[in-house]
Amino acid sequence: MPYAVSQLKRLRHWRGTAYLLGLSLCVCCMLVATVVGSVAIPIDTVIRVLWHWVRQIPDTVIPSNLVTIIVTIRLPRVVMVACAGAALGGAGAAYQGLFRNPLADPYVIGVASGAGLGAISAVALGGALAFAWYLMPLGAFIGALLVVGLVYLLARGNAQYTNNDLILAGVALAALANALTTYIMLHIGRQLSQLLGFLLGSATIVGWDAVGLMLVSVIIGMTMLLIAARDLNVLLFPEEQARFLGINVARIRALVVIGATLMTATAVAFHGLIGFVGIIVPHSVRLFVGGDHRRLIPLSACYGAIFLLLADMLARTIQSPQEIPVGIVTACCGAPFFLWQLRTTKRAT
Amino acid sequence: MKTQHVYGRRLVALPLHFCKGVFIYLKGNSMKSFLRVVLLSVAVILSACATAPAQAPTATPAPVATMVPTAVPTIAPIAVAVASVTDSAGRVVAIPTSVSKIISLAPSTTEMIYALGKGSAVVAIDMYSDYPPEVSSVAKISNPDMTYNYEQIAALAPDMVFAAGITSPDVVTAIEKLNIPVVVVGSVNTTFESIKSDITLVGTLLGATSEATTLTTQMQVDWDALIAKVANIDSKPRVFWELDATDPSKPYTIGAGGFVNELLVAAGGINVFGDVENPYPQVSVEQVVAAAPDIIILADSLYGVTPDMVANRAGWEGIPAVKNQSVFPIDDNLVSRPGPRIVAGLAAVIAIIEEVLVEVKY
Amino acid sequence: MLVDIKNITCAYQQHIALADVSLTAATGEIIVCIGPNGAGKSTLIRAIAGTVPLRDGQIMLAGADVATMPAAQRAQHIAVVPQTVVMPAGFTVREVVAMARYAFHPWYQRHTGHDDQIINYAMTQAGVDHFATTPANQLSGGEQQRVAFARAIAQQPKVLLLDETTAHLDLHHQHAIIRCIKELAQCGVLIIAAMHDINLAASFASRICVLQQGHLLADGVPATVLNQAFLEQIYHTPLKVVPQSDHPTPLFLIQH
Repeated sequence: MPYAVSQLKRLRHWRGTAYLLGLSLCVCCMLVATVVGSVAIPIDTVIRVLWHWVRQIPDTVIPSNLVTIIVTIRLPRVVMVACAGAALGGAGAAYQGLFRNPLADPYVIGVASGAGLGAISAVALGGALAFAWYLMPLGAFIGALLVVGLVYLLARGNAQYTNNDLILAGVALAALANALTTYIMLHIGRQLSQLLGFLLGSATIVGWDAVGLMLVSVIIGMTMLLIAARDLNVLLFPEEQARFLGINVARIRALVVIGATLMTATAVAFHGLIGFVGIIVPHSVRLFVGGDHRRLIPLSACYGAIFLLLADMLARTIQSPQEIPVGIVTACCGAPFFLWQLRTTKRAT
Repeated sequence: MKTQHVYGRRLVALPLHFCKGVFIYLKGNSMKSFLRVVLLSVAVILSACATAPAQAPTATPAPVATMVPTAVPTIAPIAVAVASVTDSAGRVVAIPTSVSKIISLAPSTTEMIYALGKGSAVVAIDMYSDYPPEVSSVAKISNPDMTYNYEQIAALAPDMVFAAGITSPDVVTAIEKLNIPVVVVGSVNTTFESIKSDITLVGTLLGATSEATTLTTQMQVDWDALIAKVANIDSKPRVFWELDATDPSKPYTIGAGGFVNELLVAAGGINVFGDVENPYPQVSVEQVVAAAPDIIILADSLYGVTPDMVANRAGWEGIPAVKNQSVFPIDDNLVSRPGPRIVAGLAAVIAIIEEVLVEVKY
Repeated sequence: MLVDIKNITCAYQQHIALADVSLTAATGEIIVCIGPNGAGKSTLIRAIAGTVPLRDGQIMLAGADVATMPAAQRAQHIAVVPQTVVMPAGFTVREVVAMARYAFHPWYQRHTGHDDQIINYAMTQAGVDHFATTPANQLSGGEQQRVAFARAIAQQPKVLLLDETTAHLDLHHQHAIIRCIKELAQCGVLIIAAMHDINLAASFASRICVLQQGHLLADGVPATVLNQAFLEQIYHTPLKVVPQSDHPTPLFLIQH
């Protein structure tokens, strides 16, 4: 017990600095990610180009191809990566609260697979028409919402649903969604390279229109989650006790499911299937600031962005000039880190 | 009516309510630290920006020398006669008046450019381009998963990029975003005629019209001579074309509709799976045994597959081609790349068929 | 009347848990429901709290129907201490008690100094103030129960419902909680408790309700309701009666 008390006092000390540290780290990482790339550009050049870009003044000194590299290739990608990381981190924290399970990552409960299936179906159906860029996120959102709804209904089939029912339903539906995804991919072989790039986290140039849509969905999703965050704390108790404490359980669940699914789906649609962010980041943040979702969700989003930015930087530079899919990096860093944390948590309690 | 009014008022009040909420939330808890963070970030960015423009007037930043991946070949700029072309994908592409740096994204386009004598203008190629041998010293700008390093492409600032029919449309769009003209040379529906017109297109774009005419004329002459050699074969051999037999029980082969099938037929062979509607079908070893091919051509020999390995595969020993030792490796790069070496590809197939026919005669 | 229960019937699928029960209760009363297992004590508590749908009848709280009241408003009037509470990880005792104040503010408002005072008072009353910064899930079962009690007090309810709350507590804390309940009743809080311990019930209740198989069999002051013949009939158990000099009701012990 004395250990636990001192630990919590230390945690309280952490809470104040966590926001400050998180936001400044996030800004630094975004800046560094814009500087780092397979083409070496000095930091002062990068800052100069960014400064001119912000003020919309044409630069006559810096060669135009360097401006193109920074403004057209790196900047949208950095913003997109940060948004995707924030979306996955925040959504992970929210799902874990909603399902009262620390394993409820968007991958484990099948949301990401559903989004993948939705996105691929949209490409398969829309492939005959001109390829519309918004078709994929829309399909992903519908697919993800379907899976989350089904998981929820299946797990609630029995009046008293347990967390294991939920995970099992999620795993089964994820397997089904992945099987259907593979089937569809085999059937539309001519677009295979496009789809493969999508599944591994595409390395193509991100357009500002896509970044805008991602940003909007993250803002909407995070707003919904922050509205629900306080009452989500009470949902960690059994449903009836939450109702004793005056929580409108159905409303909070709807807010969390729609908000978190929206963010996961757009992240998957624009940045491919990236594992481990939604499980590791909230888990580590919880160790430092405790379980209150009013802190946990925004901080998980912030540190999720940092984590994915670092992983993306590594993916771009580790085998320079070639780039490896970022999903490989998150898994390679994520799995050992997760196991290490599992050990230390066990020792602490 | 009354309820409607109430809801209407609520709807108007909602955004106000939200803003107020955010303000109170921040004020109540973390306004101070939030402001601190905002100020700190602004300070960091401002101080960083303040130093950068200060240096600018004194000296031109010299990042250009460090950022280019390899030394750029210097050749006299090629004057291009046309202002725009319609490429193989049907896109109208505006062409710069003079070209001195080009990038090729596929082996077929690389081979065409070098065959037309314009290799010195090539500043970068994809990682699968390996012919002619001098390309080994040229910078590679693609990743193993068929994606390209756009930063390197932008850094090289080429005047034009050549893509092929196999290049993903995404790649073409991405490079266009960098304001670099991309010309797609070749489509997935290759024929001998289309290869010749592709070469003519590349010739037009690189100021090598006469070289292109010479090359295509020579190709046609050689092609006709080869066809004439096999025109009077009366007993055509049955051929199984192995693309990939990583799983020997389910090899990939060629069906109807692909260019390799056309090449095989032109060489006087019969594709045992020529009636399958898929250009690259996966078949079972049972079907291969039932088809009883006289010849097996190993298009996967570049990946290390040898006739001995085929002979040792379980279930393959009953196939006539294996029994008669008529299993031949082929240089797949000659037949699968829709470029100038396609005539050599036809010659290689004909050589295999002739060898078998000669053996049968004696 | 603060709470007016009018002919309510509750059922779980086919099983009738409460049949045509009527009860009125005023402020300051301490009503203890006793009865054998499965008599419907917990269902009555949950029905008043509005979490069990009524098949028939109505429950009025100060003239308003509990069933149609928004959850947050209901929680400002009625608090429940459930039978068992498992605390989630990552929250201190104080944070758990503070959850009682959520229903009083919209999502964007933090709690005020007034809320802090209420939380401190509730923790002192339940005797958990010295664990305020301990992780709630590291406490023992009885301690967690007291945290739940503190949380209910922090709701400042007009009606406090207790479902077997004292079952896990040691004698000292049982006594402390009973004293606290009495104090709350004196301040005008209506207490309705479900309980197994007849003697404990008799010691502090102002009214005893006896339930059996969903029916309300008796309702009155302890001295009249609790008599040997009636209790032996309900529990099917022979009892020994020990008179007390300082209390109107005798002690009822199991006769072995």
